Amino acid sequence: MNEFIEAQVAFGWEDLRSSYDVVIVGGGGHGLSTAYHLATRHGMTNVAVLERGYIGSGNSGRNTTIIRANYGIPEAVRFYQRSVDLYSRLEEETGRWIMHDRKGLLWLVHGTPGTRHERARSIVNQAFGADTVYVTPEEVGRICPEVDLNAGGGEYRVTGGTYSPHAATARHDRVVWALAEGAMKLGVHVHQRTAVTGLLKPGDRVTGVLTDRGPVSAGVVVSAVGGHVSTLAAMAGVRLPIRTHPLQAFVTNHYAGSFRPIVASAEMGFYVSQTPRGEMLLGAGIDSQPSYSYRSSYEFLSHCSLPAVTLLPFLRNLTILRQWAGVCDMSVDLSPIMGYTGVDGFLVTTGWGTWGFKGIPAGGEQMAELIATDRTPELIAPFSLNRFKEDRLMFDPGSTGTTH
Amino acid sequence: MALRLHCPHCGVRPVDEWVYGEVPDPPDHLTGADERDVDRGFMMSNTEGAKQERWFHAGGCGRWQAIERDTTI
Amino acid sequence: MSVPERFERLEATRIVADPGALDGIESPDDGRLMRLAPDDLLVLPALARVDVADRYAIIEPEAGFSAAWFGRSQLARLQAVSAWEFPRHRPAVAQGHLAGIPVKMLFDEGGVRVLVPAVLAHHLEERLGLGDRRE
Repeated sequence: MNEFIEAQVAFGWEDLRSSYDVVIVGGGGHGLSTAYHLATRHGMTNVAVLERGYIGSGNSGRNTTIIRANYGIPEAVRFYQRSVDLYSRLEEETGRWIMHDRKGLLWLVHGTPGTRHERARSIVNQAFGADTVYVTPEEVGRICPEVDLNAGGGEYRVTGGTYSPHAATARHDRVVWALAEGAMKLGVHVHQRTAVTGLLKPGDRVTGVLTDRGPVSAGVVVSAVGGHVSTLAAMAGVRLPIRTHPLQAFVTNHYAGSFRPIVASAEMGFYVSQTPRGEMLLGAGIDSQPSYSYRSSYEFLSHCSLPAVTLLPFLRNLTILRQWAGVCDMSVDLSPIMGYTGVDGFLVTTGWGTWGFKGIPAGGEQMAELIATDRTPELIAPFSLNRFKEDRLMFDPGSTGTTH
Repeated sequence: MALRLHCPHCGVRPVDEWVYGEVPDPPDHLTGADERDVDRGFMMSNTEGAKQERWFHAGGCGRWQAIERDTTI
Repeated sequence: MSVPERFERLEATRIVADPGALDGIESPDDGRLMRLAPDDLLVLPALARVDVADRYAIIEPEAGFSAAWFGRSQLARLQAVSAWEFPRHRPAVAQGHLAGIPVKMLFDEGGVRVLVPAVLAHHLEERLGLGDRRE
């Protein structure tokens, strides 16, 4: 966070105490949201968020900011619909403009298998509270006239899709700052440039963290780390069903038109939306090899651009301005992992893969309730780490915008 | 610059000529009987650093190669 | 001519055999050997018969490639659409992506012969801007 931003928001910087009730490792969306909800919902303010860089400098600042609840399994639809609802109230609640914009999401398919899949998605969504309808090619054309319904000379003919009017985007760094400010106003400490280097675990219980500014003891340590969670969890003796993969994205120069919805095609392997600045923001699937690298590549640009200009020919006239990469903790069943780990004093909120931004408000709200009440809330009980031992995986093919 | 891998037959080539070989990635050591099957089935070492892998050089020799890669680069 | 109009279907012989046995195969007169992998050899042009010191060798006519010849003056243009360095010694065999298409290249003093899977030849022609593409 730079000095300009720090001057704009009501932050107070405190010295690192030697002890807190709750220490949250990772100052991204999920860590800050957990701290924010501990302070605002449960009056717990003896809380520190430790961030090795600056807040939002990890994947919270690298994602493509899409908010949606059109998931493929009931448990996920309920959870993400809660997040959609909390996002839509966040500006009013925090008094900060997060540039929340309800754009609607078109999820297109190009053949019979995809059509079946999207019909099933719309039924599951409606049954569990998310607003998603099946649309015909004619309706696709009305919602987004830019789509070439006969894309690729018919090779990617649009045969239908689903439309989720609830889907939105928000400015990712504003979300992070609004949550940090809201928590700090109530007394939560956010310590930037404070790297956690180890865990204090004298016996069977985690009792604090080691940092490059000294040890900090804690009633509870919560890992809200993105990208290095396996390493942190290993320090506690916890194993995770997670592999970390890079995800790349890019933006074009300004598009003079107004491109209203978010458009995704899993079969063509990309999704696109227009930023408030008018740039077209494109993303695709994760890189196939596990990696912690933020390196981006020309190959990604060419692989992502070809299907994009095939489906949306107007993109041909734009040029690519910037590209970047983040790293995604992909759980084996493509669902998040929240709650107890089997080691006392050590909780995780992880497995956020390519869907972490969508879950920020609800993930923090539910983790805060778990910490404050020491009971797993019903909404996130399906997403416990225990599910792998209990053989009740939450495999959700609808969790990713593209095929993985 | 894209990730590059060294093929012993063809030389150094960018990653888009290669197909990543999915191999099991269990934790470094397995624990007792209760945990072992869960570890094998689901848990991953998710190594940060050097790692032995298999890559298929689809755009070149068309052979599987054993390649060491640093996951932090 | 240094710029080809298009890729032409190539007839060759493919030998998959023990690496030691492939080492013993001599290049035919006016022909060339391309070692695609330690156990995989492509012989240009197609051979009427060949002796391989491996009784399990697979010897098949290979009609899956198209080829075109690019003169030395065209090398820079090809290098510009390749993400890897062409070899400097001659003769040389190299394989990898050219303009995103997998190719095999046979370099000698006068230029390079580019082999591409026949089904992808028209894509490579288009990406390299060969022939008259005006419609």
